[in-house]
Order: sequence, then structure tokens, then C-alpha cells
Amino acid sequence: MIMDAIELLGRLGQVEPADQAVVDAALRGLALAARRDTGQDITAREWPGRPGPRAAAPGRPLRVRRRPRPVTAAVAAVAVAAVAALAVVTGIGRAPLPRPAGARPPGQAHPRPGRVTVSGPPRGTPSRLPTAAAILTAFSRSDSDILRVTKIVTTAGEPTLKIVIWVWPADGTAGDGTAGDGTAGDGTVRSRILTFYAGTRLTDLGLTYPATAPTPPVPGWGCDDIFSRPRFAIPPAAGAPGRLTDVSYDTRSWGRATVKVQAANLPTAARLRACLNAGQWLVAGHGVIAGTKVVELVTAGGALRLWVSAATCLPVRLRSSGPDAPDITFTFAFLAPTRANLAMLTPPVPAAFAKRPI
Amino acid sequence: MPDSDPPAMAAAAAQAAAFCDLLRQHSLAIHAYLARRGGRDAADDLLGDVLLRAYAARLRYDERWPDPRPWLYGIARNVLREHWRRAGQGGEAAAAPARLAVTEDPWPDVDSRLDAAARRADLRRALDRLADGDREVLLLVTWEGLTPAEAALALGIPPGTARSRLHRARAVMRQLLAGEAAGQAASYQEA
Repeated sequence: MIMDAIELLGRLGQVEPADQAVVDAALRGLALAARRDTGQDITAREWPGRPGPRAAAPGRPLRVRRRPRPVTAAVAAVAVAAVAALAVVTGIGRAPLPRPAGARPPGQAHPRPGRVTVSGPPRGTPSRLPTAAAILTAFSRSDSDILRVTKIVTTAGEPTLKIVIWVWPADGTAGDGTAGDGTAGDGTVRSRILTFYAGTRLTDLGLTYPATAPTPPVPGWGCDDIFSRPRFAIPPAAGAPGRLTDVSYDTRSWGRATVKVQAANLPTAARLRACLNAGQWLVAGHGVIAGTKVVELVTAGGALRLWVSAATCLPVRLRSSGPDAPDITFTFAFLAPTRANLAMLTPPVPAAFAKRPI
Repeated sequence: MPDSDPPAMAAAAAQAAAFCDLLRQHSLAIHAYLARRGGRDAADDLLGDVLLRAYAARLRYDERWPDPRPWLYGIARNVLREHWRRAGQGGEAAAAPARLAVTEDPWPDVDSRLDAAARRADLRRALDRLADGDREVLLLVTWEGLTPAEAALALGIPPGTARSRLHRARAVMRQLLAGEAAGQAASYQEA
């Protein structure tokens, strides 16, 4: 069957709906702005929640005409496969390696977030990284750890969104049985996504999905996409089968469901190696974050800055900022898979919360 | 002055509440627009920014518009352009891989999927070869379901211009994907 070009284009334009937490956070920011503007809590009763059915706004009749979507069917299977492959580019074996000298003791994050001070070569004159091999080796040594990423989005000087993400194992491939509590790797990836808005806990999600087999990285691809969290959709949808635990602090409810998961995009040695070899990441200077010496890397286009520990060469921080754009900071920590740290992967369900279907 | 006039303050609050409700109703559509153009992560990060900017610009919203989406997409487009400038990606054309990489497969259709898979690369190349303005009109109509007139409103161009751009973009896309007019496309891009 030969599909019309425009119909094909329409099919490729299909996207999955936004996560509830993302919409909630954006709407809360809007509510805050409206409250500041009018001095009244005019929207509190509306939030959170997915947008409801269309309704005429008070004093503003809406005569919205919605044309049917030109296309309703699926996206290309190869596109799905390509996205899955590219989103989880891993190339590191699972053999446990000794921790690098100076690494944090088990159970302690390394390093703690803090201010960044940078010295060294002037900005704008980045050079090729001479110690790429050291950095890459150190990256590989963190594979069996738990990766914890704290993402903070700041708009107009105010932090609007904070998301804490745990992923274990840190490279997203099959577990290697090095958990500190003796738990053997079982070929699954466990993740937790905890979302705050203005210091208030919004949602707490737990995801379990199959680990992927290591795949070779595509040179130069995705160097500006060092990390993204796992995403899920309610079937039918593309992705690996997974289990979701969804705890909503807004509605004081929780539920579990079988979902489809698109795996996390994780900062692995193979990916960074490909980016370094392709000249996509360059040295921009040296600095200190919370007392830890770091090497600052920058993408060739200058859009992103990545700091890695000079002692352990583990990624410490990733920052994306610019004029008239949200300032987004990712802070990385690698935690030893001790019993206490593994417990952090499971979102707690408060006893008073009601169970609901998903 | 609203600050000292309780009835005026109440009216302003009611108007703000109505506008917030309007934004709430369209937040998913705005997110989808952002995701198609800039990828899912960018959409997550930029949705709040779009809503705040729309709120700040609400006095410019015309209540007579039958559908607020073109106006909202115009704001979202500006936010995305700033995002692209910040990322140094060189504009919408560079974002094509991201928008085409965002996928969902809610209604399996084996034949169509196979066909789409075979032609996806060609489609991306063809899209990249369109002029920016033509591509924007085409995607607003094809992906967002806007009419050409609504796309014109989103882009701030006359409706007739949007219609001609859409006609041209569709024709070129079909020609390129049919493999019949690669040379014509090159001259089209330069025109």
C-alpha cells in the first residue's frame, strides 16, 4: 500500500499525551502567576488535573470548532525501534569493576549539589579533552550503582519544578548482582520519579521495566541529550512492558498498572566516548562544586555544560541555560546499591491514600 | 484603578480566571505542539513557560477568535524558537529529527506501519528541504489540525499567503516523495 505523503506526515506527527505531573506543574505555575497578578487564589479549585472537557469560559464564549484529525493510525514501526535503540544507547559490559580511588563511601552521594566556580581556560576556547580515557573508565565503574538525578527548572529566576529521578542500574542494562544487600540483578531496571512544585510533593512514580542489551552508540548522535528519564504510556502504546506505581499527593490516591515504557536515556561511557570522538564535547575549564574539583565540558554548540569530577570522573552536573529560556540544571549522584539506597527506588504509599484504578 | 476599585478588581480576577481556564483546556494541545516540534523533553520543560507568557499577553487575546489554538501556538512557536536559538540548533529544520522521533503507536496498522517505515527517511529529507515558512504552515495544518486561515493567524501572515504556502508545500512534498522532482525541489528552495 502506498500512502499519500501528507497522510504519512500526519501519522508521524502523532505524539503521546503529556505526563500528568508535567501538566500539573505547568498549571500550578500559571495559578501562582495569576495569584500574584490578581491577589486572589482564582484557580486553586481548578488544579490539578488533566484539562477537562471544553467549556465556555465565564464571560468569554468559546465557539471552538475542532476538525477531525487528518490521521488516526500508528507511527512507523521502524521509527519506534530506532527511537528505542537510540534512546538507550549503551555499550558497557556488566562486569563489576572496582570503584575508583576517592569514590564516596557506600550510601553517600557524590558529590553534593552546590555552587559552581569555574577557572581555567577562558570560555569560548574549548579544547579537545586530553583525559577522555580516564573519564570513560570512571563512567564504566558506576554502572552497577544507582543513578540519582535531580532536575531543577528555573523560570524568571524562580525554581518552578523539581524532579528527582532514581535509576538502577545506572547504565540501564541488565543487572549484575552486585547489590549491597545481596540481591541479584534480575534483568530489570527500577526507576522512581518524584516531582515537586514550589516545594510541594506532587507525584511519586515507580517504574520497573526490562533492561536493554548493550547497543553500540551512533557517533555524534544525541550528544546534547545526555539524560532523559524513563517515560510511560497506558497500553496500547509503543514501548517495553513495565509496571507502574503512581502515587498522587494532589488527589491523595495511588494505583498500579501495566504500562508501556520508553527507557531512560542514561549517561554511559560509550555514549560519551562517541561524543568526544566526534568533537561534540570539549573542555571548557576547571572548577569546584561543593568542594569537589570538576572538569567542565561544553558541547560544540555551547548549548550545554557538563561538569565531571576531577577525582572520580563521574558526571556531577549538567546545565542548560540562556536568555529568555528556563534554566535547567541536572545534578548527578551515584549511590552504592545498598539496602537503604535500594529502598529509595520504591515510592512509599501513605496509609491514608485511597487506591484508584489507572 | 483596579488596585483601589473592588468591582474592577473582581472583574479583573474573573477575567484572569476565565483565561486560566482557557489555558488549562488547551494545555495538552500546547504540549503536543511543543513535543512534535522540539521533542518530548523540550515540551515538558517549555509548557509552563508558554502558559505564563500567554497569561502575561492575555490582553492581546481577541475574544472573537473562534479557536484560541492558533494564538497559543504562535506563542509556543516563539518560545520554541528561543529554545532553539539557545541550543544553537539553527531553527526548525534542525529539530526535524526530534519531532519525527516522538512516537506513539496506539492503533496498530501493519500495512501502514510498514509503508511509513520505508518512507520515513524520505519524508524527513523532504521536510528539511521545504522553506521554513512553507513547512510551518504545512505542519500547523497537518499536525495541529488548523485551517490555513488559523495557521495564518498563528504565524502572523495573511490568509492568502498561508494558503499559497500550504499548496506549494503539499505539492513539493508529494513530488519529492514520489521521487519525481528532486531537481525541482532544489530550485524551489532557492526561489
